[in-house]
Amino acid sequence: MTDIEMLEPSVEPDRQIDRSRQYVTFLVDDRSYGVDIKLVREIKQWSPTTGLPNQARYTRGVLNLRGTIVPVHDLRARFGGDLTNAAENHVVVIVWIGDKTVGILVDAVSDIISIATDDIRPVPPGQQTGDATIISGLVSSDEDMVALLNLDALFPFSVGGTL
Amino acid sequence: MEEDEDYQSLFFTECHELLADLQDHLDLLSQGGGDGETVNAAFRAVHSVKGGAAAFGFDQLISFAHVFETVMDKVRSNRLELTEEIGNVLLRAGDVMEQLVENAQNGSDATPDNLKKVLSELEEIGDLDPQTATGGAAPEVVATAAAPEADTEETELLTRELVFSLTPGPDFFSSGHDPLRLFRAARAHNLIEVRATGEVPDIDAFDPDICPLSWELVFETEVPLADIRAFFEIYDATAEIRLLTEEEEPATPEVPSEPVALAEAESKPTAPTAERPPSAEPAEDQPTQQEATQQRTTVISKSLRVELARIDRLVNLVGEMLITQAGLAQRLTEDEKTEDLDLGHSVDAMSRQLRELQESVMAIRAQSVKSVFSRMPRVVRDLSDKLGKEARLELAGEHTEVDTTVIEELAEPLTHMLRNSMDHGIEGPEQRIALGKPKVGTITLSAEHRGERVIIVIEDDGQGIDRDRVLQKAVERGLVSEDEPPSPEEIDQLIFHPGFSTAAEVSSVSGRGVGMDVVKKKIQQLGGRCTVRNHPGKGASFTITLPLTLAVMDGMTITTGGQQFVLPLSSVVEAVRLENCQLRQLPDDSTLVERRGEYLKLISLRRVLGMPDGQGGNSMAIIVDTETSGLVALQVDDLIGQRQVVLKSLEANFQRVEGVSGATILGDGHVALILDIPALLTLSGGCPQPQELVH
Repeated sequence: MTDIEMLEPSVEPDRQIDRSRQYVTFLVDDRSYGVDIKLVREIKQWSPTTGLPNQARYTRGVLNLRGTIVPVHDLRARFGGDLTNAAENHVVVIVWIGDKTVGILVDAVSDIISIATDDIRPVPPGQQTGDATIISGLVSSDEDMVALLNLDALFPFSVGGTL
Repeated sequence: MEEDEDYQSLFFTECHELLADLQDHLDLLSQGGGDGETVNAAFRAVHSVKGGAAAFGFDQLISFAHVFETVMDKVRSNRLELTEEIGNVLLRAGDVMEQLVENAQNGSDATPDNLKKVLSELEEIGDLDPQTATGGAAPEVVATAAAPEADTEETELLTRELVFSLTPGPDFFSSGHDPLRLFRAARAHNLIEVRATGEVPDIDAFDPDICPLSWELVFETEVPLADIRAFFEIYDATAEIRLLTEEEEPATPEVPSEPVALAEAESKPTAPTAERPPSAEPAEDQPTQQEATQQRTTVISKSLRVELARIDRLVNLVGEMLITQAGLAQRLTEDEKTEDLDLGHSVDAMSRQLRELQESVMAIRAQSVKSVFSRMPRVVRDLSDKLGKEARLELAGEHTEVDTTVIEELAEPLTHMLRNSMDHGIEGPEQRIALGKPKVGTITLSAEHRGERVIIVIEDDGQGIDRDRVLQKAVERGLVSEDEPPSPEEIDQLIFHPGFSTAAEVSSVSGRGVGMDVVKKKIQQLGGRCTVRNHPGKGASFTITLPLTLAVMDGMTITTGGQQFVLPLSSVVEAVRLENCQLRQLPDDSTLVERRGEYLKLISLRRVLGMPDGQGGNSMAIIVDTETSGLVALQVDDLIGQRQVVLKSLEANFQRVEGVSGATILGDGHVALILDIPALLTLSGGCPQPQELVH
């Protein structure tokens, strides 16, 4: 009996931690987006990229991240907006998508927030048609709404090329 | 145990090398070449595989290797004449052994299809009794071991104690033996006690390679002495093994104490010195084998087995240094105030040294294509059996060296191409005779260096590509239209079309839906090209050109549309200023440039890359060799210069980009794309306006 009593208090806080996750939030056109902090590798100031031929419009090219070549995608363009007129005050969030390292160009990084899993609301169906899966959930924070990004769906990799 | 796995993987690596050597030796022998040493070497290879297999308990492999070894022993001692027929059986036995090793490596217990057949063939030529031959390692010992014990074996079935002394010789450790491993294995034979004897010498006289100790192993067992002897057989060459108990004597409790003194007296003087009385060896042929083993170990110690990952780290570091150095050199030229000549010289010297360093590092990774080529004769033999065709594979230039990364990737496409040649190229024996060709077909697999590339050619003397059938099939599949028949050469190229397979019926050999297109794709992934030359009725030849390495290359840096690009230097022929050239316009809006009386197509790099047709620039044309469709002039803004670049993959974090073979990092830290010229031109040349260009 004592064993169980000993166990119970220690289990409870663990679960609490497990239930809430930390997200890095950033801004594009004054809208907030969030990415699980565990997927964020680093945050970098924008520097000009090398363009790639015949790629999706939102792919801004590649940059040199300490010897590895990392593609950079423009989040604003990905959501159908114009290409960001990137300058030094823009930020590239380097994230992991699966085993790949990818940069996401955003306007600014705003915060790191803790969100209880229970507080994540589903995206209302039918609102965004094709893009529904790229947002995995919505969270209210400080009277602002944060859209949590599903990175795998946002920047899928077409495996191999044709030809 | 992890350590065990380490040893196992080492064993398997060694097995593959030994078996490759074995195939070489057998090839030579069955063609009537080679001498006594070749036979010996072949024998040793089989013997070593068996020894290793015994240490890890791969029973199937041990028993097969044993039969094989016995036959090889007969060949070696001239009791069996090596005819071509026997040579073929031995070659197949080598194949089976390879299969068994692979099975053991994959942890599968499967029996290779032709094991039984080859085994019985072996037994037949070796005149062996199948009963004893399959019974494990014992028979050879019965046949060759010293006679005294042999008589008593049949009657001796009582449990008794047997005490052996084991004195490791100087080669014991370097041959890969480990006493602990031996003891563990001996447990299976009812080892009940191990006692160490001997003294550790003074620290200054201590040589860690030489074992100062010897051991006594006490077995309590009812099995015949020969079985225990068989267990020790693999250690015979590198350690002295003696039976300390008298076999006739029934086991007594006093036995252990007696031999201790005996062993000490005997083993001490012999252990540190290499001298071992040859008379103590059970078989008459042991001394020569021992010498041979010693010889082999000295050869091996000159090379070093290094994990590829360590070398890769080195290659990467050198790559980084090249980039840093390029940055330094660039800084120096930009900084005009620097009048310091010495500094410039130092940077130049550093550049040369780095280049040398990089070449040396790459040389470590270079491997001869032999490791891949040597697997191929087996493929052809297997297919000969399956298809009822006769063919011989001739190898040339096996010693051509290529980077390991390339070698590893080569086996699959080569196997596939050989299958293709065997299945579609080489005719059946009757048909060949009817055509007046030699009954046995010949496939030649050759490799050679040409500049910065390696050329691999697979040529057969079969029927060539059946253009009518290819065309018919292509029309059926809607790949080409019937009204506009392609040229014969274009038909030949159709075999590389995805999903194309000419096998009339799906056979187990080829025609499994994967065709030459897969081969081509694989070769292209390696930065290579694959072309075919067809001589209907006479054969076909496939040519693969590959870069020597996938890590570093010489490039020509150019700018276009404000961005730097690298062209592989190997494909650049020359650079010309457009203002000095005659330009001609064709009705279809394409431009030709005249170069010494020759007209070349001028292609705007900007357009190909989907960049806006900007103002200015476009002043240079780089004449490049497309390898497939001759020379072409690429219009670029400016030429920067020649430099060595370190290849970085775009696929690692992104995906394959058409027309781009990779990327590199410039001295200023920016990324430049390395253009894949033939792929680029397929983008622009095939269809007049490539892709929709969104700006």
